[in-house]
Amino acid sequence: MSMPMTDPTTMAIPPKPKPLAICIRDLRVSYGKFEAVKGISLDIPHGEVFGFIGPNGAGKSSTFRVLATLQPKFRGMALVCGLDVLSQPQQVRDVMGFVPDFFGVYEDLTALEYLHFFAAAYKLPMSKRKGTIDDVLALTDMTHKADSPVDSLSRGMKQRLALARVLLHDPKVLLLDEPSSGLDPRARIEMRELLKALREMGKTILISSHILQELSQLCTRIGIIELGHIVAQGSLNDIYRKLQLMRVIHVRVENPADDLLDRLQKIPGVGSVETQVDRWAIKLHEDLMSVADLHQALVEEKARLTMFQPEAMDMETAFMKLTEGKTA
Amino acid sequence: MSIWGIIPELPLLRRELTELSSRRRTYVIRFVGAIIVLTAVMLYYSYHVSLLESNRYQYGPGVGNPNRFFGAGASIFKGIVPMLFVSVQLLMPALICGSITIEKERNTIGTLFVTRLSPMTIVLEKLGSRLVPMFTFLLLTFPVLAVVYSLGGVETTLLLGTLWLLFCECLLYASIGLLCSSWFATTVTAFIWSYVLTGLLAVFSALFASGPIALPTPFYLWMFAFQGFDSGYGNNTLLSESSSGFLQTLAQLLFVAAGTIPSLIATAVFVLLARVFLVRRAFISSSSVMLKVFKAIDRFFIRLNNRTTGGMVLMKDYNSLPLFDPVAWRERSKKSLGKARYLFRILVVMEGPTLFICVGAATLSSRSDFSGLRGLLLLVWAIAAMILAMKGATVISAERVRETLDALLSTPLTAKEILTQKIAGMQRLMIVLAIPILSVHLTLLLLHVDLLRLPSSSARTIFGVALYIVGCVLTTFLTMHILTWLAVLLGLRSKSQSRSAMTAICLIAAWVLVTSFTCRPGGFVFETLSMTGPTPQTNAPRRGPGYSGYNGYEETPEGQRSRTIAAAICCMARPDGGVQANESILISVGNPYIDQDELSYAPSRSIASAVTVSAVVFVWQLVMLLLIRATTLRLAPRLLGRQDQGTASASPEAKLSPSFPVMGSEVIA
Repeated sequence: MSMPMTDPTTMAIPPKPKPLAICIRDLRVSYGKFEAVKGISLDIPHGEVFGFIGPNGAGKSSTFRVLATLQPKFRGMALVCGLDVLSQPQQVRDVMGFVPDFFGVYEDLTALEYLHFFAAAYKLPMSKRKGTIDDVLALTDMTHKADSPVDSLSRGMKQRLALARVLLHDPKVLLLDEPSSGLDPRARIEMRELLKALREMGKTILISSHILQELSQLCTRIGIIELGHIVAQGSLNDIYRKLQLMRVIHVRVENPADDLLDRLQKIPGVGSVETQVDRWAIKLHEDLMSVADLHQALVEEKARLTMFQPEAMDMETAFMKLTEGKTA
Repeated sequence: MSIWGIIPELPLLRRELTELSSRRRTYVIRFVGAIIVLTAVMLYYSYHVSLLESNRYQYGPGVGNPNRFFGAGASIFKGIVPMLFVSVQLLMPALICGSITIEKERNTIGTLFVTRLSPMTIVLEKLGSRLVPMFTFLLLTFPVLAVVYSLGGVETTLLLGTLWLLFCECLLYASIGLLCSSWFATTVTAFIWSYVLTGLLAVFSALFASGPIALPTPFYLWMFAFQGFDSGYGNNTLLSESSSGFLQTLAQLLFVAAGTIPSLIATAVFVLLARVFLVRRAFISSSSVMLKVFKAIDRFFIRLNNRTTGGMVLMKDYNSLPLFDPVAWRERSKKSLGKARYLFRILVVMEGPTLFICVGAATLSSRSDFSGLRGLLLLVWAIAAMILAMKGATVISAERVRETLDALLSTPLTAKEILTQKIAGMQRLMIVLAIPILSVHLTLLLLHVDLLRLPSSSARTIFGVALYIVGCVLTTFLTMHILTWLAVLLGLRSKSQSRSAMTAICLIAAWVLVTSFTCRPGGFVFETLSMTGPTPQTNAPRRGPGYSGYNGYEETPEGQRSRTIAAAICCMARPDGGVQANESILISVGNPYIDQDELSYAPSRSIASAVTVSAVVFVWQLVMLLLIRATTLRLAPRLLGRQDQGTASASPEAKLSPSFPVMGSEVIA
């Protein structure tokens, strides 16, 4: 009895699903009796910039170390590009670049030697090595510092060199633990621009930082971690909505009559209006009324506006609301 | 101020002692140290008591009478006290060398300076904080001394004088360690230099001990005052054996106290220098001092070359980049102990004096006593072992301290590759360290065997010489690799360079010392193992060319076999067993006049026995090296804190199926 033949061209082959860039399930990391990470789960698709926020000792660096294959003892599961960090550590290292939260120096090397050292460590083919190093030096704007001793570089330069190092083998996933820590404002802005360029190149970036404003400008999603637990994750707007955070809009009018104040408080979506010395601070439920609609409503209420200033959504407020200030 | 406002509060001393008391290590070291010292003291005590017993028995009267021990306390006391002095010399530098460097390493020295503590107060409180543990350690031996004192014969002058001199010895060696700690940036360098200076002081004291100008260290003052020397001075002591009357006792004590004035002045000078350097060298860089020196020499020679030849260069430095083994490349081309040019300078510094002494020994020695050359061999081996142990133990901890380890570990290099490349980077250093060692071996060979007449010698001699040369080369490198891999293993876990280096050096030194004393020819283990065979018979000449026995006894084949086994076991236990076994080959084919009983594991001159021992020891050392290497490489990933081999056999997809997370299945927490 012959098997029924099927024409492969007529079969609808479903495209093989692309694994997530980072997938963590119920991750638990313990140091002796102390449990630093208590069951974290994260899914980060390719191309995403995921910000990891949390107070000191919350478990961020432990999570990074697991993904960087530097934490052999943990429970749960951690995959990088579908590769298990426990069973396929070598393959994970090929697709991942890790910048730790400190930058140690090989004081005896120049920047160029430093990159050649790591190019050899990443086992880059000899034919590609020089070109790749030139490219990463150019990308990180370090070409003019190639012959400077690593020891003599500023902290900002060292961080850029660290980024250049992890770009040598063109990894798909970048794990950046506090890359802006200790940098001056200029170096921080330069680092942010560099990370934006990497985002444009399609790299998946998991980044931790204490500078919340910076993450809000860079990340597509964030996760807030405290005492080893993820207390919130999603896009910034999702989190604000979830927390029912009200946006504050500062308004100054030419005709601040009492009845106008009463009428404003009755506009649907306005939470409260606080009278300050020279202005009113209107707290707005953005899910009920947009900022533009409020402006329109104020005009309709015959308010003669001399100032209408929405306050930027404050990640620090979200952070403070979500976390209890407890550290390990 | 506290305690009625008289004794100052001493916050730094209090903090140091609190820290010390909260460390488990303090109690472990104290316990182990006390066990070692007390065991040594008790062994000596019981040995002496048994000696007294046997003597009394021999001469008849007093048998069974406990009074026979009365008055024996003085001689036992004088046997025990030198051990306490040596303990101070060995322990004090280790205790104090990290006292100030640790503040530099932790970057806390600036914090101390901005308090109201003056630099001198800091130095004195640091000194006090390390003297207290030393005194408590010495206190542990006092119960034994009390028992000895109870036997009688220990004069008040001897007791009080000894206590005072021990106190001065502690001060002197503590001040040397403190000075090193104040001068150097890291505990490792302070540790090494403390022992170098301590060793030099001990050597010069010993050299001048019987000469007209004695270095008045407290230990040698004690020897002069209470024990006397066999050579030069006979056995006479400067102070009379017994002092009668208060005034005579007082006068003798004042004499001892006056004798310690130079030592106390030296202590004060060292402390003052420590105070000066505490401020001047508080924030010095911890980068390699040797590398800086070499770079300074480079600059000097470049300037000199520019002036004299106008900058002519015959061979240009080839500034290479790493191709395949980056870690080995960095070790070879960027380190002071790896760069060929710098290693050549180290070779010249080491080989020059070694050759000078070797030539002197070859021309001046008596053809039967090579103790000077053996001392030199011991010295070059000690230097080599210390450098290799320090370098091996810090290969990983240096990366940890400089915070470069994580970056290295997150590359595809495996832990095995990293370690083997690190060791490969040390090969040149091993060669440089091996050359002086092999020079001494060659000199010993020249002194034992007439190489000009070798072609006409017997096949036995030619075979022995060839075996000796090959054996020396092989065992030298084998022993070096064993020490290096052992040090790497010991330093894998450590987070501090100082701790890893000190642990490795101390453990290797303990291994060498313990086995050297117990397993040497004539040592307890060797003699015990030798005596397990049949009893030797005596009927042969005791010395000279016809002599083929052991300690004056003609050997039976069974006795020879038992001693061969004993020699093999003892050499296997010793880290320098291969070297010792090789020497037994040389003695069995070489100079017949050598006083061999004390030197060799082949006292019967049997080349078969010597070759057997050498072969067994070589195989054992090879196995030991492979075992240590395999253990190190197996433990490395875990101790370095990363995963090298996959643990799970199932693929993640299989484990997660059917809900393997893929793009689009976002989880909202």
